[in-house]
Order: sequence, then structure tokens, then C-alpha cells
Amino acid sequence: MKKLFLLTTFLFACTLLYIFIIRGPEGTQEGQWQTYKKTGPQNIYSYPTTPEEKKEAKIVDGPKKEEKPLRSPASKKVEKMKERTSIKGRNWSLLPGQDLPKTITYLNKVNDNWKGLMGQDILRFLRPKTSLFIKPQARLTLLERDGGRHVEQVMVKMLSPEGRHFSYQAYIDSETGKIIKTWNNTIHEPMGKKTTTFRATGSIGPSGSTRF
Amino acid sequence: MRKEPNTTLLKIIPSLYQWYKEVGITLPMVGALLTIVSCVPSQNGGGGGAKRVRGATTDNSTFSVSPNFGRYLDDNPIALSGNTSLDSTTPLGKFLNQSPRFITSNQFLIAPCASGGAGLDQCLEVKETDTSSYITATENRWAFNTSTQEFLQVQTFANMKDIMNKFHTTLEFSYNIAQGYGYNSAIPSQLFTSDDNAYWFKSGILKGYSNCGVENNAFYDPAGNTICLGHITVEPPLYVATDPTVTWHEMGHAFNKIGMNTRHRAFESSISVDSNLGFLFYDEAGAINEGLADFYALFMNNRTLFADWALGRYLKQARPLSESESVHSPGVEKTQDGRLSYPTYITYDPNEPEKAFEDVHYAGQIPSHFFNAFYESLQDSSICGLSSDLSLKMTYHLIFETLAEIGDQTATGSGVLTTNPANFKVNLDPTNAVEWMAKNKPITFRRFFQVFSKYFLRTLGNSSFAICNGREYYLDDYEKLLDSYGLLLFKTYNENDNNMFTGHSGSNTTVTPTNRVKSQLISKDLLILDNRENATTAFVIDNQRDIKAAIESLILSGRISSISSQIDGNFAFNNGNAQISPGELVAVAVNLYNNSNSTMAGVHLLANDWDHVKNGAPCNNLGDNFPLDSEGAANLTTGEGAQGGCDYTTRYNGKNILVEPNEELAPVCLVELPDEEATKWVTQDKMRTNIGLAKTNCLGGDTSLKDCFIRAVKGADHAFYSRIDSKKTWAESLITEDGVPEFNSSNVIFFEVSPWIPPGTTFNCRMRASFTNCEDCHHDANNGYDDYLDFEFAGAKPFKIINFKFTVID
Ligand SMILES: [Zn+2]
Repeated sequence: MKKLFLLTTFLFACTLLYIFIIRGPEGTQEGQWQTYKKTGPQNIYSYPTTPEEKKEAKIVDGPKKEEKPLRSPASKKVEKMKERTSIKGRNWSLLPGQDLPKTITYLNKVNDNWKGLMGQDILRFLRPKTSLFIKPQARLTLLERDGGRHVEQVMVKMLSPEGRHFSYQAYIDSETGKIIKTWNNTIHEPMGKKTTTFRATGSIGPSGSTRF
Repeated sequence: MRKEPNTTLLKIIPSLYQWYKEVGITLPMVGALLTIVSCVPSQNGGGGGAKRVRGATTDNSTFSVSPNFGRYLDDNPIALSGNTSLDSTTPLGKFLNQSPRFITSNQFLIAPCASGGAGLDQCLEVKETDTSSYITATENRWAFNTSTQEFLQVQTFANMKDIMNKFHTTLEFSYNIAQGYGYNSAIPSQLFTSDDNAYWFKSGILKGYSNCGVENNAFYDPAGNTICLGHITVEPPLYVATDPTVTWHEMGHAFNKIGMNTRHRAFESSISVDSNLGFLFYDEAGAINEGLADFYALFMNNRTLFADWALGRYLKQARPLSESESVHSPGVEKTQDGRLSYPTYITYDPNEPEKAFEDVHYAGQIPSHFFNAFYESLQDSSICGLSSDLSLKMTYHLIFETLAEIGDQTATGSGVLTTNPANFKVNLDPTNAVEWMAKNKPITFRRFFQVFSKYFLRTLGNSSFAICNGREYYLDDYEKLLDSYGLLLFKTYNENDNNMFTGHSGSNTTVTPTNRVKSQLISKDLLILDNRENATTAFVIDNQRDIKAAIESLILSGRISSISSQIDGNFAFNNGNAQISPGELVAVAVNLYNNSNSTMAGVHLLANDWDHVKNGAPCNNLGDNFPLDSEGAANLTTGEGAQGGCDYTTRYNGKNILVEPNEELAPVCLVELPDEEATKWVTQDKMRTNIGLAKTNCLGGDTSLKDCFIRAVKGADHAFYSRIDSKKTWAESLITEDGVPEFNSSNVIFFEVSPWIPPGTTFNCRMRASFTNCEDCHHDANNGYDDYLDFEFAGAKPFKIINFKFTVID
């Protein structure tokens, strides 16, 4: 009986450990939108994006559609990059020509709270009424000069307090939550010539500085 | 000797090829056949300028069409009516196509696509907004009153579907040309067989929203792959979706994304970052993106005026694609002198020609006019004599080739897709490809049109292919046309590409110097920091309000990566004293001066890391005489010609620790260390150890010691200027009414300034500058004017070094 109890406890612990490692403490769900709000300079809270917010931010959900080619090619000559695991639940994102060295050092760890840190990092400089929505897309490890860096690939959507839409994809450092790289930024067609410009506060030169 | 007829163009039309093989036709007949083919009305073509009968309202009631059919506007209402003062109150029913067209047999507005034997069931879909439900047909019919939102969705869907189908037909043609002629092409042989859908999108469906709610705007969102069409704020609203040219323009951005990502998607590599065409608020890559998008409107309707309804009617912002459009200023005409040339017209809005606008849409008019002129030249019997249909397809063929090569993250550029570094011929290598495209060797008018011209040479310019009615398109004719646009900015066609191992071997076709009349090249030494009397070294923006607004726009648009946690969230240290002070985030516009007698254009200033420090000391053999030997320069006799020495440039941008363990990049800013005997210029880490600052207090924390005190924000670490006129600075060239310069976010470089810097500390940020019409920034006079090799853009050679020296003052 005691053995059964121990076994059950052990299995339960293994299950918890599995959930923690594989899914993360919040069950880091890829493909699920999360809303971030700023309540003060240092206070950010987040929750799963509500249907109303999705409507406002033009966020589309829905099951991922399977797209299969109508006709599969008879033969393929492409040498496909093999997926290789870096740490549990995460694959290397190796670029063409990149090979893993025999020994790997990792430049960062995976912080379970990367999402919170990222929200804080992005919203820190923005007005409180800015809306931020983030959807995790992939968990990757990049091979850099000095070792492997764990990153989270995310899709970011933002709504300015005036309702302007912005979107892009980004790599987020899995430990610090900081944005490392962005791409696929929205291409706007501003119909009107109001571009955001900044007037120089002043100038500096060999003879000192001048304020305008 | 009898010349073999040109059959490859025929092969792309299988039935004609069969006919050729069976019946046996001669070369003149081939030409005649191609002419006939081009006369067959295009299945998906636009209105071609056909006018509707005015006043005859088309009944678009449900049962006026067969099941699965509907009606829509196949051009904008001004084009269809010929009435330039048409009102937004005008019912649009009278402009609908008379004969109903097939819309879809699907339950919703969802379309499949097919190209080259491959296909997908769901390639695009349309709804009113992203959160609305799909509409369904009424009694299986897609005919709706033009005042309804249902009509607007059918309208958007049909316009998107038409151009998608035409794009796929053209792409298949392009693939067949590349495969048929068998030259060294960028269009990969796996275009239609890759699992990553290289001919469409890896992540699937493109979504269109016919009334997405944005005011005076439309956008393409490449992250979510959506097109959002808003409305113009007049009463009643003018829905952007009623101007198909805008829908086609947005689709053009989507096609450009496909083009830029063709090769690595065909390779099915695990690259998840997409190549983009445009990286800043203003850069020439973004201008090419806009110019191509405008040209996609002409692709559909063969008209040389874009968006005269949505942009033109109320906002006066329609854009021409030909010098013969009446909206142009006097002097703009289809002559060698009158073409819309670079850089004269780089900030030109024909609707307000007296003002200068640094904007990608207006700058994009130069490439769009060139594409149209080239397309027209292909039809000109004295130059090439192709049908209009084939001329358009061949123009797009060269565009597809160019995008596939310049956006290639496999770095192979053309030919076989492989991971072998011996074949990394463009964009340095896969590790650095995106950095090269955006910063070190950016996509400029020179880069784009040099690659375009290379593929011209390999196809239309190839005498053995004889595509132009039995002969080639003469190179002189081509170079003169390119030069009339000021775009003959290269000296060779660079067929040997830029691989480090093959170097300058291989032969290149040289541009005939006498063909370069309007395309002026200027020595990089004439780009300097303003040194006139009482000159300004740099403009500084450091007041809280402006910095807040600037950073907000950069963060919202996702142009920058994270800002140091050492910078206060409210920019509390930003004191607005027009100096660079500890703890500030400052925007700096270095005051570059054009000391030449011509306009410099596409001026690009880089503050990203580069190869100028060896073994912890700055090299002083890079052309800027900095620093002096006595001021702490690296020892030049150490490791000469070998890794780690000052006359060695990293081959891997300092990122390959296995092959180049002694090569690493350094940040731009060095610091002056007061010495008892002499001034010493040292790295920021040396200064940190000197003042005993804890590593964790560095701007990037204890893992980023090299840029401990001053750091350019990634993404805002390069600036772009459309033009700098002769004997002027940028601010003087694009003058504001009160003389105080106004900058957009791409004119400034943002620096984080550590709060730990002792006031009085002097820095020298060693930036690198280049410009598009530069004589010695791109090709190497010592190697037959062959382009510099890709790796050299990690160093000093292709650049003018600009030393920006300043003292941090509290
Ligand atoms: Zn556009």
C-alpha cells in the first residue's frame, strides 16, 4: 500500500514536472493571444485577450487551416534542414550552413516569466492607453557567435491610444524578455501628408551648443 | 547560317509549342504568333481603360446573374467613367462590368490558387473586417446592390482574385523562361515543389478586409498577412475598396514579400525571419517597394495613373506612372532630358511640385516610371517589338529575378540552392543576410537596378536567345534608357557576384562610360561633416516631449529592439538642453555636408558595430587618420595580413568563432581617456575598468561590456537621407519655413547615454557613410571596377568614415 502511494506520488510529481517543463507554468500556449496593460510606470498586468479586445484590435482567431498542395511533386531535390533539439521543448533554428559545435554553451536561460518581462519592456515607454497583444509563435534556440540563445518568436499587435494599428513579428530573449529583432512591420499607406516629425532641440558644434 | 527560331517563349504556351513542332513554323511566324497571343483578351485583365455607357445603371439584383457569378468594378470609377469630378454620392452601379463574372462556388469568399502545377485550396479570403462573419451568397449568387457592404466584399474579393491569378500566370511564365533558357537564374527550380509554398505564402492564406474601419488609410500587414482597406473621410465615405488600383497596390506589397523570400522558402530552410523591402520610415528599399506596388496597378489596367479615385479625387494624391500624364510639372516628358530622373525627382510630388517630401511613395515614382518606360520600350519595334502582354511579362520576369536575389537569405543569390559557403554570392552569408540587406549593403536604387540589369543581360540582352524579334535588346539602348532615369549608377553588371573565395575572378560586362550622362557619380570624400565657419556638427533632440513621441512611434511600428533598463521610463534625465547628457535617450542628426557640385542621394549613415578595433585598440589605417599612434591606436605590425590585425577585414562579420576566433566587431563609439601625458582613445570597456564601474551597470548589463556607456539603439542605428544638394547639408536641402530643421525618424540615430558617464567625458563615434550615387563606395577601382566583395562591407573600404565627437555635459 505504501509502495502504491509512493508510486502514485512519484507519477503525479512526474506529471507536474512534465507540465512545467513542456508547457511552462502558465501553459505558454503558442497561438493564444495575451493582452498587456500598463497601470503604472512599473506595473503591467496581462490576461488572455477578450473577444471585445480582439474585435477592437482586429485580431483574427480560428483553427489553423491545413493547406496541402493539390499535387505533390514526384521528386524533391531540396536537402531539408533537420530539426534538432536544443533543450527540452525547444528546437535549434539553424541557418543554412550553420553546424552545431561539439560543445555548446548557452548564453541565457529560459525564464518562465519572459512574457511578463516583455510586456513591461514594450509598454514602459508608451502611454497607458496603448494596447498590446502578443501571440507566441515558436520556441527556438539561435546559434550565435558565443553559443546558443533561447528566443521566443512572437507576433505583436499594438493599438495606439488614437486607434492606429501596428503589427510585426519579433524574437524575444527568453530570459530577459527583451526584443532582439523585429521584422514584417506593417506597411501603411498614409493618405494625407501628416508624418510624425521632430524639431531639433538645438545643435552642437565646435563653438558649443545652441538651443532653438 | 540559318538561325534556330526562338522557341522558348513558345514553350511556355504548350499548345502553340505543339503546333510549332507539328506544323513547323519559321521565325517571322513566331513573332506573328506572339503578337496574336498578346491580342487575345486577358482572362483576368482589367478594363484597359474601357468606358462604361454613362447613365446606364447596371441592374445588379440577385437573379440578374447565374449561380456563383456576380458583378464588380474592374477599374476605379473615374477610369471607368472618364469623369474626374465624380462624387462619392454617385451610385456605382452604372460602372459595373456588364457581363457577370464568376466569383466563387465556395460557400464563402475564399479562393484557391494554382501555379506551375502546384496549388492550394485556400489562398485568399475576404470579409468586411477581421472580426465579422463570412458572407454567403444569396440564392448562390454574388450580385449585390453597390451601396451594400456585401457588394464591397465581393468587389474586394474579385479584385484580389483577379490579380492573384494574373500574378501566378506571370510567375509561371517567369519560371518557364528561366528553366527554358537555362541561364543562371535566381528563380529556384523548387519554386512550385517546395513544402513552404514558395510561390505563395508559407503561412498560408492572405486575408482582405473590405471596410476595416481605418480613416484615410489602407495597409498591408506582412506579419498577419492581411490587407486592410479603409475609407476616405468625405460624406458619404469613399470606400477605398471601390478603387481596385489601391487593392492591387496592396497586393503588390504582398507579392513583393513573396518575391523577396522566394529562395529560402524554396529551400525549405528553417529561416523564420522574412526578408523585407524597406527598413526605415524612409529608405530606397521602401521606395522601390512602393514603386513596384504602383506598377502592379498598371499590371492590371494598363493605365499610367494610380489611385485617381481613392487618392486623387478628394486628397489630390494620385500618382502617375508615365511622364506623359498631365499632372506632371512642365519639363517632365518622355525625352532623355525630361524623364523622371534620380535624384532630381526623389522628393517630388507632382500635385505640389514646389514642396519637397521625403516619402517612399513619392520616391517610388522614379522606379515606377522606369518600369513603365522599360515595358513600353519592349513593345517598341525599333528596340524589341514584343507584344504588350509579353512585354509586361518580361518586365515582371526581371522584377521577380531581382527580388529573389536581393532578398535571398540562403545567400546563394542565383543557381543551385546549397549550404556550401563557396556558393554564398550575395548578402554575405545566411547569418548576416538580413543585416546586409538593411544596413551594410542595403537595397538601394543602385543595388536593385544593377541586379535587374544583370538579369536583363542574361535574357533580353543575350544575343543567342534573340528574344526581340530575332535579336537581342541592344545594351546601348538599355543603358541609355536607364541613364535617362539617372539610374546607371554601376560600372559593371557584376555577373561574378561577391563571394569571398572567388573574389574578383570571373568576367564582368562593363557599362559603356559614354552612356552615363545623367547618372552622376560623386567621390565619397566629398561627403563630410559640415566644417564651414560656425558650422553645426549635429542636431540634437533631447527634450522629453519629442523623445517620447519619437520613441513611441518607433516602438509601435516595431522598428527598434529593446531600450536599456538604465534609461528612465519617463525619460526623466532628458533635460532638453540640446546637449548629450548622462541618462538621456537622444536623437542625433549628424550634419553631413555635400562638398561636391552635384546632388548626393540615398545617403546612409551607419552606427552599427563594425570591424575597426583589434585587440582592444582602434585601428588607424582605415582612412580617417584616427587615432594617432600616440593616442592609443592599435599596433599595426601585429598580425599584419592575418586575423586579428588591422589590415584584415573579418570574412564573417565577426560572428564565426570557429574560423575567426580573433575577429569580433566593435561598437562605433570610443572614449577619450585623460592620460597624464597624452590623450588616449580607448574602448568603452577599458573606460569601465578604469573608473571601476560594476559590469551590471552597463547599458546592456554584464553581458554587453563593449557598449557600456553609449549605445545606438538597434534598428535606430542607421539614418537615411533622400538627397543632399550641392554645397549644402540635408537640413538646408529640405528646408522648413522657419529654418529650424524637422526630422523624421529615419533622419536621426538614437543613442542611449549611460547615467554613469562622468560629465566632461568625450566620445568619438566612428560612423560609416555611403550614398547611392557614389563613385567609390560600391566598386573597386583596383579590381576593374568590380563590386566590393560582400565581406568588405564589415570594414572601412566601401565607406566614408564620419567621426562624430562630442562631450557629455550634464
Ligand atoms: Zn504602398
